[in-house]
Amino acid sequence: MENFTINGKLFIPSVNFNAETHLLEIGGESYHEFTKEFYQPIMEWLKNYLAIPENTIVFNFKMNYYNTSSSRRFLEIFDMLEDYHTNKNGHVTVNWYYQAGDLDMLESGEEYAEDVGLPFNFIVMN
Amino acid sequence: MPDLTPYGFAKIIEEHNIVLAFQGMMTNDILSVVANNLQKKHPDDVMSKRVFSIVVEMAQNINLYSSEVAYSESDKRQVGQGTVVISETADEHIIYSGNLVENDKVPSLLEKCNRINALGPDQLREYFIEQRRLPEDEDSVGLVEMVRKSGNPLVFDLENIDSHNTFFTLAISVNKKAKQ
Repeated sequence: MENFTINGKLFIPSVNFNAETHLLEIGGESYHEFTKEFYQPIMEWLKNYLAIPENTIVFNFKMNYYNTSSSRRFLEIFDMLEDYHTNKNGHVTVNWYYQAGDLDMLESGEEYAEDVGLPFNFIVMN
Repeated sequence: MPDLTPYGFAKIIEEHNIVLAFQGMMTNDILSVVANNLQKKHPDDVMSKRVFSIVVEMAQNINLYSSEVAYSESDKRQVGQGTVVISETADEHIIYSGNLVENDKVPSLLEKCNRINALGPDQLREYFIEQRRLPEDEDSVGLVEMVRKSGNPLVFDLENIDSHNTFFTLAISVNKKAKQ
């Protein structure tokens, strides 16, 4: 299947989902007003991609800022990945990147790690 | 009567330590300008990120819940209108939002605000995680986020305007020497 790419700008994140290397990356900022609509194609792609079982997936989360509405969409993504990890013989690792000193972003990652059954690594960027 | 010549207006803004004020439709373009402005003033600062996140959540609430709506050409739909003001002194930022809400939504809004203000930091964290799994129009995630980012309770006021509308004012302060 085709890879999925969005070039980020001000309030839209950069998305690079690679179906061959199984590296899924999202970064930048996300505070689109209508996140359901914006994330719809991303969810669609993931749904098709996760229909193929038994892949080892690395999800690199490199967001710098996102609003609570986007935070719901990320929760939906993590739920999809959790289902894959648990029920589709998949193996998913989340790498949660945050800027040194931005403990708010670290905390946000820890809250997802508490809420979904996926292994999270927390990686500080200098 | 206030002096609204540019000179008089500038004086009013200065007297009230206003660094940014906006009234109307809260579109992405407007928020980007706010983000840019805060980042230029305080680059890579956690505090300005917190202030920005409060502005974004306020704008989102105005967008969705203001009873005063207008058609946005860029969004191709009706969006809420309201006012957001950021003031800055040596010790704190105060971010204000104001918008009309329908009278029948006032009790639930009041309940949400009071409930959040009764919670401590750890409870707010749990409440946030719990609320994020509720249907989108029932949750208080945006308000909880504001309190968590500011470290201060919601200061709010509801002033009845007429038989349909109440004016909802929210003020959130972010101490400059808050927890890092």
